[in-house]
Amino acid sequence: MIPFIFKRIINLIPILLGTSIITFLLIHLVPGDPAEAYLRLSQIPPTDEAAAHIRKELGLDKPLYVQYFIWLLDAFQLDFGESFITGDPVFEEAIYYLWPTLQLTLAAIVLTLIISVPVGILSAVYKDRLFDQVSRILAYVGASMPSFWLGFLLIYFFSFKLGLFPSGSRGTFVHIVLPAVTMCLVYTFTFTRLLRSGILEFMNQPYVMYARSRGLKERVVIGKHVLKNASQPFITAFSISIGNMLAGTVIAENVFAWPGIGRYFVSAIVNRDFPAIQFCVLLMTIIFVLINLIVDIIYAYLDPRIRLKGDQLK
Amino acid sequence: MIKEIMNNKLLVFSGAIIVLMAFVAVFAPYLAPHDPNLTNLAVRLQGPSKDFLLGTDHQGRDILSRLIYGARVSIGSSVLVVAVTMVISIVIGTISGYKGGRIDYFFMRFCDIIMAFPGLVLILAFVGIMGPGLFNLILSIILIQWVTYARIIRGMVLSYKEQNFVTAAKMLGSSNVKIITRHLLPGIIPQIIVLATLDIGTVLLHIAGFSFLGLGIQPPTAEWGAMLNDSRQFLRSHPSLMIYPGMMIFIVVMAFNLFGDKLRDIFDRK
Repeated sequence: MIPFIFKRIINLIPILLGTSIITFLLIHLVPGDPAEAYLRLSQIPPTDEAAAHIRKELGLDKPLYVQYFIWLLDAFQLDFGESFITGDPVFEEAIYYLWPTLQLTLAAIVLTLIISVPVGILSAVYKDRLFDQVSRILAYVGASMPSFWLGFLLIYFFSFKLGLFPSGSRGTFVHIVLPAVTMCLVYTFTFTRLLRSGILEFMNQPYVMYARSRGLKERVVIGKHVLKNASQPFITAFSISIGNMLAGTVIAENVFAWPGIGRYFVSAIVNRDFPAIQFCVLLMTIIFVLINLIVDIIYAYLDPRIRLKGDQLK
Repeated sequence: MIKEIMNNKLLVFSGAIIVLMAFVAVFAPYLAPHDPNLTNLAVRLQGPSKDFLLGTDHQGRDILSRLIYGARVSIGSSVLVVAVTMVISIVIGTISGYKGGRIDYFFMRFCDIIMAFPGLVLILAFVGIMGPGLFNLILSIILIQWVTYARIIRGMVLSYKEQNFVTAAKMLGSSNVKIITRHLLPGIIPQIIVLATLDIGTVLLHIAGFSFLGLGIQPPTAEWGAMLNDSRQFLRSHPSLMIYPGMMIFIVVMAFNLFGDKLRDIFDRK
């Protein structure tokens, strides 16, 4: 297990380097002069003289590859430049906003699991009965629901009309409920259907019949024998969705004024705050790559074939 | 039997909604009772009346007219995105699958890289780098979306390529272009249309979502996502401002999803 994890971590290095090159290049290939953008944002008149000065100060006069190495060296010291808007280091700003986002994502993930696993199992057990039909309709609704609209509806009913939850910002536990529900609802019903079809697929396998014929209770048969195999596609889809969920916080954060990285990213985009944009892209990539790593490790743990095959290749 | 009719009923129903919406989008200038961008602060935030059937927004603009024109932008740009995506991916997917070799390897590794990241993150990154705006948003979505289809089409081409009718055409001395256009594409395109229909809903959600964030369509252009963003301050006092555009997005996306799903059922049975 340890060599497998170690190898996966080594594999990450080229990916991260590649991402850093791409984000660095893209920012510099964007039409428009970053020096002028900087001046405009600092409200200094963009004369040629001032632009030349800023170019020198920001190191923009050097060749591109030198700029990249300087940037990379700084990056190793966790220096990703200062925000054009606030003048503070983007690293500190982004890390400050990262925690609330992770908190929200985690809440949404937990909520999704709590709802979708039991509903998925029940939909499979009561296939084509009322419960299954309702969950099928809800899956359609969930897939077509714009999450920002859902957020507004939740605010309107649960916050304004019923006064149960606060309508925005971050604070106590109750603040996280509405944004987490907004984020998870879209995924919940998709996963429900996925788990249902996974269970149904394995329901008629010979080993399940054998378990039944041994006189095991239906609950044990499904819980112990079916679920383990049926959960594989579910885990795959789930792991892919975590990245999308993390990006999906952008909308929930905007609707509920949640002070997270998504809101920071969007305001950086609107303000053309290049160092902040660059770091946000990089940060999201790193998080996503790390999630993939964790999921792979879980896979290897669940399915010995994966980690053994990895060892043979060595 | 009952299920069969039920399926077709849904197909007809969702199809009818799509046709209706397309009609509204195309004939927006004739259907809209007012200019969607005409502000008149004297009549701001009014309820439904004879003059303004659904009331007015915070700048006194007619909501119904904005919804009608919004259909144009929302549906129009989604269809555009999906259409361009399809053209790109059909060309690349077919070439990649038919030619094989180095071209295939190059395209497929490129697809691998793009597909390794969650689509939303990539769209956000591209829009972030290129700047907000409808054009950049559309471009970003296309850049990301074509990859998936190119792969699917490549797979289809690979499976058709080995079949007897293609071999026969080759033996008869048909040119590659003729084999692709006459023998391969007719089998592939119907399946791709189904996929495309299913995708319009997703793309529409993306466009509306990004416009809601202020990263897509810029004001004052009427678009459903942007209208929802405008309604934010009046959520408590005038919830109808938020209900109508959200409802429109929901209905249209639902219609496309249902239609695509039922269409796929029919194709799968064959």
